[in-house]
Amino acid sequence: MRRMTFSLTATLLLVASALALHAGAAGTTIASAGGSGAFSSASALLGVDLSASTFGGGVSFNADGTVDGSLEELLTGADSITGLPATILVEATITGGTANADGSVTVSGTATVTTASQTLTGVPVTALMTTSGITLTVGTTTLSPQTLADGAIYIGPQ
Amino acid sequence: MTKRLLRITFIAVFVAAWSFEMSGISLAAFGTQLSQCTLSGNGRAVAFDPATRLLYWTKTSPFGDTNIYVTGPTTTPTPTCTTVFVSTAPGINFGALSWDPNRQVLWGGAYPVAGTAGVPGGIYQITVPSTTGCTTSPCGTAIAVQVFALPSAGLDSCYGAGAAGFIDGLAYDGTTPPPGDSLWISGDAARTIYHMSTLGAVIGTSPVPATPGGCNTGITVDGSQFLWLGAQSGPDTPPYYIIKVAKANPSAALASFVYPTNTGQTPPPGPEGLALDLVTFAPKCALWTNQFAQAVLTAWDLGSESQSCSVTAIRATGGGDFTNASGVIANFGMTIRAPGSGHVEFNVKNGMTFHCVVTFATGTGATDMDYTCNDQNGAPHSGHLHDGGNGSGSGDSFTFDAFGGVLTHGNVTVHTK
Repeated sequence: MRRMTFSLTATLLLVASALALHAGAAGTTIASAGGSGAFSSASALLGVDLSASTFGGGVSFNADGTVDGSLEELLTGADSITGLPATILVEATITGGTANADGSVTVSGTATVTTASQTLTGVPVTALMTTSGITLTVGTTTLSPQTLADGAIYIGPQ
Repeated sequence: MTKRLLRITFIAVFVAAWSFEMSGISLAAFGTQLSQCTLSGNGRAVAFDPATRLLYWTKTSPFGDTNIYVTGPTTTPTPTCTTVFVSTAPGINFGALSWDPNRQVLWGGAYPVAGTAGVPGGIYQITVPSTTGCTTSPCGTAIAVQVFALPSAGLDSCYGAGAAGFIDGLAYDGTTPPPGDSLWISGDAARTIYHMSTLGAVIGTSPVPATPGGCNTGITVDGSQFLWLGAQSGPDTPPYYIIKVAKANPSAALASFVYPTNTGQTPPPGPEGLALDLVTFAPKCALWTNQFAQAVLTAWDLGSESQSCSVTAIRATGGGDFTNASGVIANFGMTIRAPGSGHVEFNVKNGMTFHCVVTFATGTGATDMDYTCNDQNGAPHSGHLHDGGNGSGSGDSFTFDAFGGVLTHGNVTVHTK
């Protein structure tokens, strides 16, 4: 019985891995974004009260199951202490992601985050991208959604 | 328990191997052996006709060997080593051969061995009879007609000036100079390579690379840009090399791999004739070699070093912005794939937004692509992108018509597979 269970498990593993590999071969999904956004509610990151962003990115969900691309966001706002204009540059290399059932994509990777006073490398980032905006998580901080104000975000087939 | 472990191991290895294969990952292959036929005699020339996939080769002896041997057609993965031969008229021992697809003839360089009809430095056109269906040799006679002679080839041989006039390297070039009709020639273990017109005029000369090697044996042409050379480090002295050089400067090695030998044999067998083969192992690019001391025809994988297998960008991803003193003036995001799909979002700050569907894309090198696209109004646009490295300041660039240039922030990544 144990031998039979093991054989069944092994067979299911093989079938599952075959399905996983071939599911990816059905087509390539891409996300291309170029534009600017406005934060829908108050957000702060690294001592900057954020108000707006510009972004540019391209991500490919490849037929072989890999995901690659990059996403750059220049976040603008005001220094939370001095009130002076401040920016945070997030440059992410995308290495993973999922295409969601609602047509959005969630992409992830690591980023270099640059402020006026510091540069952080290897910061985990996740971005939920829809055709109307981006919700960015930097490290453990999830920012409020950036609503597309200018430009376009395309999510769909290659 | 042991059986169970064996079964688990087997399945794990099977799944891993299958996943690896499905991933499309290929291992670096430059200089690895693809196929081999071990033959008899002291090997010398080799030429390859891609239309028939036949290998023409020769060997030599103190008395000369005036036959041209025919092996193939080449197959993979198991080589067809069936060999017949044709005699030559006049009887010439050829030290070098090269196939001319334009004239459908072999070019041959003579070894003027005593008792044979070859003249020192003699360069010949050879019309070879069909050997199809032939099972007994000789399978007819190849007619050789002398075109010119280059007796000075080999005056600087690593064997000494006495080797002059023994043509050891010969390659027909259908691409250089445009529209292409020339020959590359070297003497036996020579230090100089000649670029000649097919009528015998010298176009140029160049030293062969001093390192690695230094003493040239075979030559073959690789596209419009490159030559491959066989080389010894001294007279019959290993290490032996297969070397890639640019036609524009054959004195500098661009890439090389060591040709393996048996140092226990005297002399240690080494590379002689070379012939490019872009069909038998396609999509791989292969190089056939013949070998002195023991005739062996070996196909080597040239990997991405061959011009015909060179790495070219096939897709690109990325995004970023262009910023001046006033802030961001434009930004973009793109995913582009050759031969023509993907999207470019290009947004001019406080200006036009272009949602552009890619209609054409082509790699123009390992790090560059050109593309065209049509925007949401059907208007055509075009641009170029360059991957200079990772992150801001690496020189990545992206253009959209007259917009763009080097990115201020962001990244362009070019993918070659």
